[in-house]
Amino acid sequence: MLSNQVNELCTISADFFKRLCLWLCFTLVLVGCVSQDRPAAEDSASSQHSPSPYPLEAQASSSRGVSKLFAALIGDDTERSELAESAQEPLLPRRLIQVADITRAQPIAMAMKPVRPLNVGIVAFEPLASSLQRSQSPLVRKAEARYLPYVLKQTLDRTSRWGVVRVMPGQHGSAELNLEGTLLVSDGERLMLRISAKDSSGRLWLDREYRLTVNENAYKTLGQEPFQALFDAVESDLYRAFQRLTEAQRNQLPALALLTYGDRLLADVFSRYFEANSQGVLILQGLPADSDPMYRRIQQLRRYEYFFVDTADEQYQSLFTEMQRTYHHWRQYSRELVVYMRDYQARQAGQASGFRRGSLAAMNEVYSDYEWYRMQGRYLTELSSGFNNQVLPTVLNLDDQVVHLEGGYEDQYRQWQKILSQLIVLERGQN
Amino acid sequence: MMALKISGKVSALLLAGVVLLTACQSQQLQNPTREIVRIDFSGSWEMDYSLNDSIEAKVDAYFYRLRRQLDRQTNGRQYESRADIPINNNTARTVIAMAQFVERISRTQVMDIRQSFADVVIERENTFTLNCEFADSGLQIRNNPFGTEVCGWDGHQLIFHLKLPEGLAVQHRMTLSTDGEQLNVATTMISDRAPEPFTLNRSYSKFERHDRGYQCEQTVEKGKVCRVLSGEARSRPVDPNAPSSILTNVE
Repeated sequence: MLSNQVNELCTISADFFKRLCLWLCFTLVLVGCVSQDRPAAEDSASSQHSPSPYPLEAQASSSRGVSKLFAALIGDDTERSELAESAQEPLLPRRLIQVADITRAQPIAMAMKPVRPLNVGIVAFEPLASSLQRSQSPLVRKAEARYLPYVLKQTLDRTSRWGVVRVMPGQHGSAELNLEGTLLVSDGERLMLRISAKDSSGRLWLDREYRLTVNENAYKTLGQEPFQALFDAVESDLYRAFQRLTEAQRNQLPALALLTYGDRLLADVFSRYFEANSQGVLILQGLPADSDPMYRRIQQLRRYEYFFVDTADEQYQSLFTEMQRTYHHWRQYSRELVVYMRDYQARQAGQASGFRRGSLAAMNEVYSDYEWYRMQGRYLTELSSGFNNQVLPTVLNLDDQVVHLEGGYEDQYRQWQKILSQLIVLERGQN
Repeated sequence: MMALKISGKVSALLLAGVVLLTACQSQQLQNPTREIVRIDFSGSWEMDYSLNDSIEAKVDAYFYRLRRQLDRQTNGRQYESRADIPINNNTARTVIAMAQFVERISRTQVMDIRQSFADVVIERENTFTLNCEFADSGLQIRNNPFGTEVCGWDGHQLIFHLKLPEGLAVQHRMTLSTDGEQLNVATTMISDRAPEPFTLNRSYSKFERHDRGYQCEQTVEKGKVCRVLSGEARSRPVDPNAPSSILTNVE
């Protein structure tokens, strides 16, 4: 019994020393690569840019591959200094984007499709910030905060310029580009969103507010998103920001996404592979060997996580499909109410009533406006209840799933962290 | 002797009615000081035409008061009337308009009232629903682009006051009879072009709605969708977890 344990300990110790040696070799190779002249590094960056969806995994299998890949990933010092300067502000300046045209944006030019598209995670939007709008039909507001991210996902998917786009119930750290949104205004006539995008290096791509006002024509075609132009504008900005990255910066993102994901699980294992510059942007310093068991474990864990993410994504898709028609009608009706109220206020401001004050016609007009408003409010409430009748089970199921899923995430995270920490402790203890 | 007794009773009733109506008209909405008694108005109510005010009689009475004010004006006693509103042909037209208007907006024949300790919802046929959340003290005030709605208790009466543009206000004051079978809705129209408000009383009797045998649900795409209730569903007891019945007279 004891001899078995001793043998096992010896095997583990041998394995550890073997890995230590490999790591030392790897570090030496990397240092050698960094010290090479810059044009060579740039050449290798361009020549080694692989169309493979998994360039890191494919190229990190040999030490030569690793060295060239790393050279490509970190780029030269010039790039790094540019990156440091640009990281203070978003790649695209902060400003309000007023989308003027309600017609759909031009189809995306496929010629500019990047070789290795980035995977995107869209976090469910924050519901309306305005307490007034929030108080109206809270379930509708809750549902639309989940509906609209899916419209953005579909927009990104349609362009084929991005990798896998997932809508997440909460912060999703393992995507290469993470989008967050806040719903500022949504009344059927106007949609205003604040979108921020940050890549896995922590670089802020954009933090902008988008606003679009539509007329009744936007609601003519059922099934067509009335505010599609706004989402097209977001996608367009994202792609512009993407184009501002150097190739080396882009190439770092998949590796950083994985390493930072691993770092969240095991802070002291993967943190040595990257460091933050003065602007807080992470710079890749190295890569674990492909045969590194921790690296492999992290990859496997992320695959598990994607399994859960995709389950959540299916729920969003289901919600999207079910509420699309209903939400269309609801927004259309809401818009009519908004337009009427604005017209009324304009009439009041201009004193357009031509009736004598105190006359029956004047009384009827004033009261009819009030009655109309209150009746519309009632219809809208009924419509909301109808909306709830149709989407409530889904929302509740979604809630349940989300809670369960989030719970699952948290549980899984805890379990993974526990398992991995135990492994690390075991390995370190044995060492 | 008998005739005298009847005559005395009728006189007393008339007097009480006049006092009540006068009280209804003269009560101001602001700061009701009477102790709140949360009367239960819930149920279905249909208009009882036999107890309604006669619009002609009300207009006649209004003009009678106006004539008296006019007489006082000519006698130099203007301080007894609202000096800022001269009584002239326009005033008369405004009063007629108010009468027509009040008659129109108080035509609701059927009302369904749901009430709890915290709120009341009054669904009225062919017009908007009145609803009020009872504040612990004071009145509930809600503003919207078209006016201001104030509601709450004034003693045992429930008041809804709509302040509208162009110097108009509409007030509904609801009073329940002691046996709980009759409901009086005094609708008052106030205009800054009239020397005094115009009030019309409508009376409602309680009635029981029969089980219709179907249940309707609002949907967005198909509108109201109704389904026939099965015998089991119809005989199903009330959910024990449903909100408890109304609390009245909690004091």
